[in-house]
Amino acid sequence: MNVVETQNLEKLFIDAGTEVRAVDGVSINVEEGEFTAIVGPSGSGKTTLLNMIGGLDNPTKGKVQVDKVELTELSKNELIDFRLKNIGFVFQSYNLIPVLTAYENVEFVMLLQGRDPKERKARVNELLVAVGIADKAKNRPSKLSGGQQQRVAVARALAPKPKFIIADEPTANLDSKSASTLLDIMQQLNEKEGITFLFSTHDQRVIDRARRVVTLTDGKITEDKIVDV
Amino acid sequence: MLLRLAWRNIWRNKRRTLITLGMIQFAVVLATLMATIRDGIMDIQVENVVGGYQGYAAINDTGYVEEPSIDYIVPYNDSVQSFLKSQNLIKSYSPRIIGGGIITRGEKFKIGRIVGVNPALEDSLTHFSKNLVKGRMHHSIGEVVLGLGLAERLKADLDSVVFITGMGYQGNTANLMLKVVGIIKLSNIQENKRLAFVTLEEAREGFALYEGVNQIVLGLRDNTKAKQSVKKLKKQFTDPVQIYSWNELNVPLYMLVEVNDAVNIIVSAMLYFIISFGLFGTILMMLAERKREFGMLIAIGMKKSKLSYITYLENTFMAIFGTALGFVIAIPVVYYLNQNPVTLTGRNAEDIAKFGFEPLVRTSMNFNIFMWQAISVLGISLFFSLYPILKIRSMNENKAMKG
Repeated sequence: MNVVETQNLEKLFIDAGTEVRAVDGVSINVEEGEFTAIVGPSGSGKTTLLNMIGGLDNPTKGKVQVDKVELTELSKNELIDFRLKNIGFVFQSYNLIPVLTAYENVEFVMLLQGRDPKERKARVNELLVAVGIADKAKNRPSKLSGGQQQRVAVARALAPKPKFIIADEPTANLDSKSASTLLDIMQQLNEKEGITFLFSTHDQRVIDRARRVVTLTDGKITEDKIVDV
Repeated sequence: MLLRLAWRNIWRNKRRTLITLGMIQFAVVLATLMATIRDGIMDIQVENVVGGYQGYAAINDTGYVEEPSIDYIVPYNDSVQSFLKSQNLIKSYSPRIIGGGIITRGEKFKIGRIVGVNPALEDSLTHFSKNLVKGRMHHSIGEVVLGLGLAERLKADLDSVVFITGMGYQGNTANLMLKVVGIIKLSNIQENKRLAFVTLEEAREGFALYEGVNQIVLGLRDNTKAKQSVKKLKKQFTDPVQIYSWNELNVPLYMLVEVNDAVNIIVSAMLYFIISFGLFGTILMMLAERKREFGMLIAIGMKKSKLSYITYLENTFMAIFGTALGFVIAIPVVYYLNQNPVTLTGRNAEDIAKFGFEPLVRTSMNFNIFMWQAISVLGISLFFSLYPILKIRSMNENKAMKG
């Protein structure tokens, strides 16, 4: 079953009076349980594509369906609500809430969903164990390393049980050891729990772990291959 | 969680928060002190002028208000007295016959006002006897109590004899020869220099006013609600006899109070205007610093309304704490100055006295002042809270995350 379907997706920008086609007619389907990497050089349109799939940006042309819901037809408020319930985000620069502890950061999205306290507690504890930072639950982001922060971000993205997780360059700011640990965790979650991951990267370590690699060049898909890991 | 988040957000940049709180605190302290001092000074003047002699309400002929003349009288008989006693809003009353004339002692003279009063009734109203500096109250015909200033002007002392020549009722000439039995210090400096008190009977005979009185001054159960009490009592009077509150009888003083209130508002507004810039600066910095975070929060599914609510809470917290800290300093100072008024001396005191005011600085403990300071700070902060709300409403999460 496809979690994500895009049809002829286009995104045009006007940069200093010049038209830039960041994404140019991209059609891609992502099935449930995939561990897919969107790769390509800087400026190839990876982030723009993920932003449109994640409902953070509107396409100039084309369609994006997530779990059969056409995102371009949703209002801004409906999109926020849709993201809350269906999409988990992991950002390059972690983007945790600095004044909340690791535990509270993970709990926060569930709180926005209005989940009951017991369910929240159980889920947060489970996720913190899964990403291996249960012992840092009370630490604020400033007391965590980059790798630990990104693991909290993964736990936060997983907390609301989304349809899939979008990770934009998740290892870009991490050292090799932290990146490797994070990838182990993401891979385990994908394999054991069937969580769909869609990430952009130009980090070879990530590409090596992906089961599907989609290459973007100048906004177009130039290669889409299934890899045996 | 939202409350917790808002609270912690305030403290994410402690130095900036402390500076902002200090700024609000400073404005609250300054505005409160200025307002309470100004209000306190006005309270003293009103208390001196109105409470000391004029009274918070009075029954007059309508003509007397426009042109105080002995010819305007109101009835003062048994039925009037029964009526006054039956009114719950009225605590005490004192009938007065008020005539003008030249008061002479030897070669010294002064144009003054001769007030005929029932000493007992007057004492229950203005606590007349407590202000005697020499001698006693006047009880019989031929006795007079002089204001201290007037006595000094006439170089009169106890047992001195003074002569009064004035205009009596309906063109009669008034001639009185009186012995000074007491000297009273009236809190209002002008009244102190011109008033002489005789018995009601003496005034009646001397000014040939054999019916009624010029004024019945009223003491109210709650003088602070004089206007409201008089409004209720007005229904029971028909022209030309009317009841007036102190502000109708003493328009210049009332205007002064009103002007003082207006000045208080202007000064406070100026102070708060300065604060507003500080507060707005803080909000702008906060928005710039947290733009990415706001974008991220919207991206992960936080409704803009909730995010706006958090920023609104943060500003409200700041306003409440800044104001509370301001009051922590202001209230003890205001209380101290209320209990220990400062008497001005030297030239300042002389200048103030020239206007008939007592040179005394005492703060007012009027709750409304504190309440309005709090409301003003809260109002300003809530007004400026609209700015982040508007910014968040129009925020594009994707662009915001790029910084």
